[in-house]
Amino acid sequence: MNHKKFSIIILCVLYACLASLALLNIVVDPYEIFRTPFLKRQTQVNDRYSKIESLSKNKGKYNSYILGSSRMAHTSPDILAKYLPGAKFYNLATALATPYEHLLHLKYFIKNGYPVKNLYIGLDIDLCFGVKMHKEKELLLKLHPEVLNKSWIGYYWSYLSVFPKTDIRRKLRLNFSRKAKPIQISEEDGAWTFGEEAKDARVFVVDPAINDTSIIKNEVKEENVAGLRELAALCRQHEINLILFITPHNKLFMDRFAVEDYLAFLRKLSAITSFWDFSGYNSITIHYENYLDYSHYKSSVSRMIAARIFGDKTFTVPEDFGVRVTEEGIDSHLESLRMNIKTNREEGRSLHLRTQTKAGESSLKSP
Amino acid sequence: MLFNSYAFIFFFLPMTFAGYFILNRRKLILAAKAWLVLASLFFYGYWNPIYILLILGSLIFNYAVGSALIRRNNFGRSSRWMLIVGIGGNLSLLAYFKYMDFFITNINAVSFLNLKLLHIALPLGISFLTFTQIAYLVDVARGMVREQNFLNYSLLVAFFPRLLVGPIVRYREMVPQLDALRNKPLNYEYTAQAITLFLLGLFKKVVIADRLADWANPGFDTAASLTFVEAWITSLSYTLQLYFDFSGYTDMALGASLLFNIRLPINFNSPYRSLTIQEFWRRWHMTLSRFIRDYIYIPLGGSRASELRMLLNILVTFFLVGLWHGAGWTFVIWGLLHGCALVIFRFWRKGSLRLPRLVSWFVTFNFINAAWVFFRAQTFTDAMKVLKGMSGLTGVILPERFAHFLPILKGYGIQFGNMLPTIRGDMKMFLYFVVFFLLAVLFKNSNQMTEKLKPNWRTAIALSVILVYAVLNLNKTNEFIYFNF
Repeated sequence: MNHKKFSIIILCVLYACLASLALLNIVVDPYEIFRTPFLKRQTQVNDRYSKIESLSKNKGKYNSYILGSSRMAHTSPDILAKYLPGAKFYNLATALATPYEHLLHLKYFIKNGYPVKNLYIGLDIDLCFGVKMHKEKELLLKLHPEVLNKSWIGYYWSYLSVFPKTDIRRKLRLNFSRKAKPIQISEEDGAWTFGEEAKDARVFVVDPAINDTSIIKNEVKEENVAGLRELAALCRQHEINLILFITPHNKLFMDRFAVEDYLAFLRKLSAITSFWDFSGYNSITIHYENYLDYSHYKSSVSRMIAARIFGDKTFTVPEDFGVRVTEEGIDSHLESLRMNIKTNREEGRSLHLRTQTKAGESSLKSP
Repeated sequence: MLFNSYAFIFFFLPMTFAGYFILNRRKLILAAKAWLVLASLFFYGYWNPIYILLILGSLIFNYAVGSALIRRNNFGRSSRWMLIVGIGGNLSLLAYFKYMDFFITNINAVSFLNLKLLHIALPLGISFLTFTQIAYLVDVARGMVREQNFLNYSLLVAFFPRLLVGPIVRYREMVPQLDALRNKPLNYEYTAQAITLFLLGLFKKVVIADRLADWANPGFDTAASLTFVEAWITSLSYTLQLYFDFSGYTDMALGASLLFNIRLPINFNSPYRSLTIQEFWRRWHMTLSRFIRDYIYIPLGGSRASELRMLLNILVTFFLVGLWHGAGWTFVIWGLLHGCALVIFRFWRKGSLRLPRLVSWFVTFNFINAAWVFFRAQTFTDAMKVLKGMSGLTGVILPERFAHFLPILKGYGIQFGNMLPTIRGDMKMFLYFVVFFLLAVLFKNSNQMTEKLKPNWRTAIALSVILVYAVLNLNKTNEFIYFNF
């Protein structure tokens, strides 16, 4: 073999490798970007991309949006429809969404002429403390290119040129062996839906050995606070009804917050807009049966949140669950919250171990 | 634009290559050179277009000073001043971009002033740009460079393969190759060697170095303390990571350059095989060693000065080497450690003591490994954290499964449990580690492999496997499950 032939062979292999990788990503489509028809059952979805795509095909159909992280993703728009006549909600909640991303989405709607009457936003304290936006290489968390004002070519290229072997393997397994459960996002309203198993029947497993116990400190708050400030200003400017609340984080999360950082964030938020605070140690957050896991509450809790916010007396909501906070009342609220945290942490409420996941078979003991 | 990116490998490099040889084939030699210069400026400006102005300004300034020096036939007093202005200009640029915040931090530390940091973005490759142009000006002043050609000079400084991480090239070793007629047509032997070298470098960078970084980074950056095994894994991972990363990138630079029939000087010659510290500096970043010898150490007096002055020259030289690598005291400590080691080596060599080769290698390698800890650590405290762990002062933990076989060790303060609580490695990690270590220390390096390249099916298949692995690792993503309900 001469040097010329050798060079040509290697170059052919190089380009063939790239082409094969791109083809693999198109055919398998592990993040449902290309929407190819070959493997229909999906394990994971870049819902930031797919929900905006869905909305762009249904422009004008919705005039109100649910925003937040995966904790909001199960909130059915029907829950809110009865409280806001004329509002047609779409659930745009996406996993690990930050306040800065909510701002980008609102700007996208305004720029592209989407009608926006109401924004119903659940704020997660831990995500307000984190990054303002996730990194480029987090392919599951990448915003839609039009939301980012970036080129489609670069966006698609990032999904064509990567080799996520675990996600590819998982999707192939799902479609050929049918062992794993597919994820589904409702085409109708964007809420996450699941297979046959009723999610509310599951009971929360608490295992201190595997749950994260690191302290959540407020490290990047300013960018998310600035994002919320701008979002609130845009809502005022465009006469959008902004309903903001703090997620009822369960006790395990509350135990991890660096208290003064958390309270300082609430103070900043009160200066931006009034909000509902469902956080703290209350009847809902200390009972694990209200949660699917240590991070996500059940849809029954979403109903309670909405009932409290909209003053629905027909629905039973514990008295200590949810309080409206304004700038004028923030001092007393923070003092009350500080006492609540101190009391509950001093009592050293212990974690409970339990082993069952089906309803009716739980041996869970609540504090 | 990085070498290990799709844009470079699949678009920029092939287009530049094609354009250069098409123009050469049509005997448009000047146009071909201009094409390379434009491509190099595009390469540099891809990161931030504004810095094209910086590099152009620097090129024009140094070319003007060099031209003025060439016009003066003798190196008189005015020439000396011109050289000082030229070198001063280059160092000022470097000082501004690289050391301003370092100076401010230190001024604030020793005074009551509370000056604000400037947070100036460091232009890529500025350290290499500076040294290359200083070398050029000194060579001109010494009469080693007599011709003037702006295109050649631009390529000497800004030729994209060596623009970001070197090697530091001299005028007389690169420019004759640019002008040589034999280098104008495509040379398939060089092309085959170039592609091989480039792919080996790519593999070293994206497969080996990046994997080692996953083990080194937690230990240096996030851990509050490290166990004995963790500390050694952390330091050795970084030692290997740095070699594979830097030498891998250099291989890509040499390979990319050889595509254009330009042979750049090699920079790494299996440095972790060194038996002495002096040998290490003849194998590690060889063009830097050459530069500091010819342009710093020898002008200071070198070995011809008195014994004490010579030792001082070594320390001053390595103080500057440390500082050149980074604007931080940990870099200076690293440099001074190597300076001290060379001083000690000088005394050792004068005595008749000789160590067995294996012992000599062991001592040298462990010194280098320990010194890299300062190079990598963000602060002196972080460095001491790793060194403390390496010395066993934070405790030695062995795997739980050994507790049954070695219970006697408990009496000596050794514990059994999770050996790697911070790094979170497993047995596969140890296996990879051993393989990478052996590659660095025992196997032929990529330059040696490429020199003796035999184009046959076996080599093509082996290189194809390496290529596929490297391409699949080019664009990494974080994979995790959050739809886990």
